Amino acid sequence: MTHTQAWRFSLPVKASALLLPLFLLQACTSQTEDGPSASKAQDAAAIQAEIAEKSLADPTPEEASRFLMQTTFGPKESEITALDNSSMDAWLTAQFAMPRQSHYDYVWNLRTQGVDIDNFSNIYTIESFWKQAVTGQDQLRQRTTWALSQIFVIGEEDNVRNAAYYDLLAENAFGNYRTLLEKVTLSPAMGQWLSMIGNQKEDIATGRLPDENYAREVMQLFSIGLWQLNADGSRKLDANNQPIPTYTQDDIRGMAKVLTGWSYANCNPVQESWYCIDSARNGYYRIYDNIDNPAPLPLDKTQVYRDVTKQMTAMAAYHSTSEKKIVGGVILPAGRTAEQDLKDALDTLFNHPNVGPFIGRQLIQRLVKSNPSPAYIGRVSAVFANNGQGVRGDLKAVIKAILLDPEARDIAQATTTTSGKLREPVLRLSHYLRAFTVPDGATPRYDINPWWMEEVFAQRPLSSASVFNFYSPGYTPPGEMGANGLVGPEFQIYHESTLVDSHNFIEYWLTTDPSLEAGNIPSFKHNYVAYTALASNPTALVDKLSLIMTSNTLSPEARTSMITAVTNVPAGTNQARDRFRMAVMLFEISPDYLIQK
Amino acid sequence: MKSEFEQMVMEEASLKTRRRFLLGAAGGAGAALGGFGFSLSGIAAAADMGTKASTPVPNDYRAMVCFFLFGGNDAANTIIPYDQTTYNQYIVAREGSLSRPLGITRLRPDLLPISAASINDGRQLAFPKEMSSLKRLYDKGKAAVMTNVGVLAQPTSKAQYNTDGFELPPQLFSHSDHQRFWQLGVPNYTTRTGWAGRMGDLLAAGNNSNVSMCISVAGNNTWQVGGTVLPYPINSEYGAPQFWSSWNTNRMTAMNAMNLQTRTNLLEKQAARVYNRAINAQIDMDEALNYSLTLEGFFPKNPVGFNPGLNGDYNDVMQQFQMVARLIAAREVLGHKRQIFFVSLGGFDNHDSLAEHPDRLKIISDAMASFYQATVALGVDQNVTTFTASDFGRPLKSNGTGADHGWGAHHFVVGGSVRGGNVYGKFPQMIINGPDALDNQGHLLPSTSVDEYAATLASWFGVSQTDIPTVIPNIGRFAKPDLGFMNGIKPYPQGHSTCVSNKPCKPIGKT
Repeated sequence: MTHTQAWRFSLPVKASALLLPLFLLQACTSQTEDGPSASKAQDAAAIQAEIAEKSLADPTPEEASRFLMQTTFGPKESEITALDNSSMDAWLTAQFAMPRQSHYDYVWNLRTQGVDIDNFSNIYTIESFWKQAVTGQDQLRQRTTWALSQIFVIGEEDNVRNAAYYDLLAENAFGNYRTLLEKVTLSPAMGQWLSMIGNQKEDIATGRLPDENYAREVMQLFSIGLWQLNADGSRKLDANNQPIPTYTQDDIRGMAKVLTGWSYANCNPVQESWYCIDSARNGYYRIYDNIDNPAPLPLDKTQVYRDVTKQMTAMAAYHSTSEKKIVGGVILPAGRTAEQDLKDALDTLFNHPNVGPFIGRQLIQRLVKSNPSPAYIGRVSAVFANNGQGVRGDLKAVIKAILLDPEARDIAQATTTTSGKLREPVLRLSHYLRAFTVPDGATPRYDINPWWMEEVFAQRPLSSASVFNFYSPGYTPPGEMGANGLVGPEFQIYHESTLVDSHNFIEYWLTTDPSLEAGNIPSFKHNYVAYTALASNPTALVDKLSLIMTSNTLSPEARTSMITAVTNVPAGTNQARDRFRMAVMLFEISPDYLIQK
Repeated sequence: MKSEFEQMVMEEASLKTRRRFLLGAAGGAGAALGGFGFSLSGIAAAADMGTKASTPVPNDYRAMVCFFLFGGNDAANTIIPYDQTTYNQYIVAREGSLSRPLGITRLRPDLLPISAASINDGRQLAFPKEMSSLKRLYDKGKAAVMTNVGVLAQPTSKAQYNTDGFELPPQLFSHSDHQRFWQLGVPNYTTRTGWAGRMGDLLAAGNNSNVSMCISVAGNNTWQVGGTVLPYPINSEYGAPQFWSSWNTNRMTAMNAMNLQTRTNLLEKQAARVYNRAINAQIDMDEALNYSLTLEGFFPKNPVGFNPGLNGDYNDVMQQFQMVARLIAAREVLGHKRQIFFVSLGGFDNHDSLAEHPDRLKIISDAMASFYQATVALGVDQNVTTFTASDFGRPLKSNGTGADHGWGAHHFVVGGSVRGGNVYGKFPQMIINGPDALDNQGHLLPSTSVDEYAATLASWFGVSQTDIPTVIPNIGRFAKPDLGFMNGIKPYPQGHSTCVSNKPCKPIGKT
């Protein structure tokens, strides 16, 4: 076997002959950082040309599977076949244009059916998440939103706030980063999570200072990070070879003053300061109608939860008008409005050279691999800085650059000793559901027990326990990876008990017919007839699964172990089903599958 | 101390043969290999910490057990005033009048009064009768009561609470947030580790094991998450988490083979390493339990005449403590000098159903008392301390059939090293809108912080005084890092340690 991939081009032979040397040139370039800038520019152009050509080309099934592993919640056979007969460029174009579904609408709909969405945490939003992840057509936006939700983290609040916030991320996933940053900042859900809502200006008399919580995290986590970075993601070093912090405690204090005077759009600070300040900071919000005696429907759903779904607005009386020194020595003059200060502060963060590498590297980690090369990060940072039409912060261009980069697309580069990423538990389950189940009925509900998920996965969607997400981008598993300077964020939640429990959890779904569970709420049905049909030929069964599960990167030894085990499943009524289950569960525990390459 | 490379080679050998790596009996510290939660970089961290952290490598044995009461235990229904004056105040506060219109306060003959040297203003407190087993331990000096403790951002007076902008913990009265803050040991959303995990990181060098120092019989939790040390949730009946397919030799053969084959990709190797650690931990845990005593006789189930609706919970909590006791008994087989356990019981969110609350208190009392007796029989009663924790207490004033979410609460600390038979902290005045209650509902303002409670326990557990702020980051804001309810806290002088990684500790002050 076989990591041999033949690029199949639907271009004239002469063009494809040209491509090979360009590709080799690119490979050499990525290994050395030296060279005159003229040849670097030429290399960059060559890489761009190669990217463009590949994206228009007709991928092999393996290439299609790999691509879909990075861009969806798990490849399924029909999608691999479709992409195999199309091109990545066409797929991306179609995906960028696809409409999205609203999570807020989903929970609102449940409310109109009498479900109590106000008292059950965020479990119905999580249901909507699973439904879209598994059945949604707009998979690239789904995956990108999921990635953004692990950077711009909020945790469990309630169905309405979590749904509205997740919709906000989805709506802006292919827009501009500057817009996304502002909308996140003014989201009441974020205002609640990081206590910016109702944040008051400083009080000289008592010595009270504004809350610094969001001021810190908007820099540390949502834009520039802790250390000054080069475009390739490496830390800048000072004259003593020490990394250079991006901001000081004073900068945080200055930023905290900027972020004062914001609260619910619908609160009146003159007549009800208690609501705009104290109540808001304690998480209370008005519901248009009395939740104990719901008004007859239909109601204008934009009114009912407006306080926590509309962007926050400014209250002049609570905004600090002193001079504010913020990051990078920028000084915002005294006496300006909350809106003016916010705009300048966010512009300052947006234009900081750190953002491209800081955010870009994390997006690569969520989609492609844990340890991108500096050159890869540099290429993505360049696109963040300028999408080719002079625009900074174009997320659509950044996503496209991440996915079409040779380091993402070339299977040879993907099977080095340092490539790959440990699959997130949520993505393992979503992959199983997408590949081997179909929705049951017109309105299936993906009622996957969130408490159980939290226990066995340590990853419950939309419910991170802290602002630092389920795992850190820089987490280094102890041992050999650490010794080699490799990070593996997802390993932070993968240990002796979650390994066993998550494996059992997936086996539960594999062996359970959910339409018989949960009071017969329609959910999904198993659909793996194409695989059980091969059960009498274990080699064929394993090889067919290998394309979906590992894009045919399954190692020879693991392949042999699997074929042997499947063969040993004895004859009996359920042999075909049991052989399929054996094969799938063996993939689920194999490092070949667990490490997405 | 072996080089990292040598240790790595030995770890690979251990993985290949899947034998539990037998560690030398002597020189207890620092030679652990690639075990769960204490990995090679854990060694590096421990060695590194040896120069920066002053917590000495333990060479004695201690265990800490957190008994978490989920839902917010109604402390006002747990420790009851007994002297007539205060008892009357309690009735008025809870029910509105001495005629007991709601019938939810305790009758005075049903109370078991206790003495407490710390209370010298004529007041007297009592345990309710269903907690007689715990009260007996109190009388023997093995149980203490910690009163009016709660999550605080800083020392907070009633006037300060009512001052605009004074820093309070976020989301007061919210279950999930305050459960979390109790476990984090600090009230914010920017801390990832819990205070037990942070203790574990400092003390990890004392354990030589594939099994984590932090074991939970009540599921995953934040309390036991450290930087290196992590919680190992196990089943209270059979122990280590098992693959459902573990009976299927065909399947297990393939699973094991795929995780033992030679690989070159470093992430794949790490995934395989975690699998093999899981198998090793299972093997070690199973061996420890096979070797250990069952201790069945110490944890009687199905109490006669008990509320049948709560019989399952009674048995479950007994089972949890029994498993903890078995793992304590097996500590040497496991290679543990320090153990941290997490046990829990739910159902304390008594907005209503306060009538059922005494049955839950009986579970607490019987379980903690039975567990203490087991530790006596095992000869480690002075080495094991159990403490209760809960989201919050409940307000003085009842809503009719129960009480809503509160704040300050009373808790129990039990063990042979507890300075028991006394009440710690400041027992609040049972007066709505009084000096210790915030408002018309009678939410109790805590007079002791979780920080101080936890710091006292951490000090007993072996964390040096200079390292306490690492475990409890806000301890510097509070007055009493040692509340005095534990014996055997050794205040190590700053920068001085009689224990180094491979030499036995010299007890302070002894020759």
